[in-house]
Amino acid sequence: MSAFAVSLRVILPALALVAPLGAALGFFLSRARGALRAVVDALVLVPLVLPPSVVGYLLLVVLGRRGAIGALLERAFDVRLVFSSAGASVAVAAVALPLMAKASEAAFARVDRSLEEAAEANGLSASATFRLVTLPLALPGLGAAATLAALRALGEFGATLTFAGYTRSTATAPLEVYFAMQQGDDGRALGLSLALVAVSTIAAFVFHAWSRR
Amino acid sequence: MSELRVDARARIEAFELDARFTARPGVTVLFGPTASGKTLTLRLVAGVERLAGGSIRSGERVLDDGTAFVPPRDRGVGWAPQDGALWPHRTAREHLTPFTPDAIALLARVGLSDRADRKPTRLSGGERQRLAFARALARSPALLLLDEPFSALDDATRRQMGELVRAEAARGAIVLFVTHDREEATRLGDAFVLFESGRTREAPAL
Repeated sequence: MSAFAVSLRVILPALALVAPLGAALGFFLSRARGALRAVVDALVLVPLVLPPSVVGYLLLVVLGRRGAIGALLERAFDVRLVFSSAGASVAVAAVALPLMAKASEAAFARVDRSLEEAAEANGLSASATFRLVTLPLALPGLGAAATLAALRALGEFGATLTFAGYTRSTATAPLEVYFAMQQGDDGRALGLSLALVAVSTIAAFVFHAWSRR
Repeated sequence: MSELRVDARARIEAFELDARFTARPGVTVLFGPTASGKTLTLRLVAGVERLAGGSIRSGERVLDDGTAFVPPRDRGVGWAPQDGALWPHRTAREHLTPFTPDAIALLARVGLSDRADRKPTRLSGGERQRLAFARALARSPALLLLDEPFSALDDATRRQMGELVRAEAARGAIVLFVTHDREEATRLGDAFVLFESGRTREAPAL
């Protein structure tokens, strides 16, 4: 499989998890006050600033074959995350989730509070206010957040390598660049690098378009 | 609803409000200069702002007294805020459909039939005000809060809209109507609350 096909197989399931979960976390962060918010905010921020290798290593400690949850997954469901595309998805999701959450928080915070007040004070329920007013107004910002998270997922290297390793099913484009270079295959390394630059540039324009809406 | 009793103390930055009055079915005009506390009073009654002291009661029901607090959506209020607070992503019709099955008829009542599919940015200032007014009317609320709802309208339209306000009063609604237009106040008001620097005085006439 080509490196980009592997990348897609790793990223898409990760984003399917990260986009809704991150948006929900962002909504919570934008509205909640007090100690619980501070705790959640810290838990979201820490993976954002940790070296990806540390994120990958901690995932290995918890979800690896000898990790508390990893051993359980293997015994109960015969699921092995290490060296698998699912494991790479987990690593990518762990790194992309904080970005999605923080960018979604900003998207929800930009929604004019008075527009929600006008909904509530005229009798709309909390869920109707969210569905009819808050969410549609935050949607461009959430699109920008998802684009940012997808870019981060596409560029993920350290956590993937540390947790999921370098195998046929985890050899995403960034990993391939590194190993092609290690093996002296400069042509392949350069080709993949330029392709990553191109995809990222396009995504940056998409991000820009979302952000301006 | 029998009556609305407002005994509201609140503070926003340096501004202190101490508003006391009782409103009965009919139109109670809140009259006074800018920044005298009229808008804040409506926000407190709507429940989008919390009291610092005192209470707001609707009949025997406590809407807010610092401990008990009825959320805005359960107050049976229709609120047209001063700036309209219209939803930029929804058409005129879509401003009313969440509240009433008969959005088109309501748009017709406020003279916006031919604007049903326009979003707020494509409405004039006066049209936006009438849409905010229509949204406040949509559920035929017991308590109608109108914050300078017709300030951008020409005299003829303003009078037509005033008649709709009178019709709401006639069906038994308590209407709090903020204006600083003396002519409009005397034309619509059954009772008057005069605002001055955050203090209030009830008056039978202006």
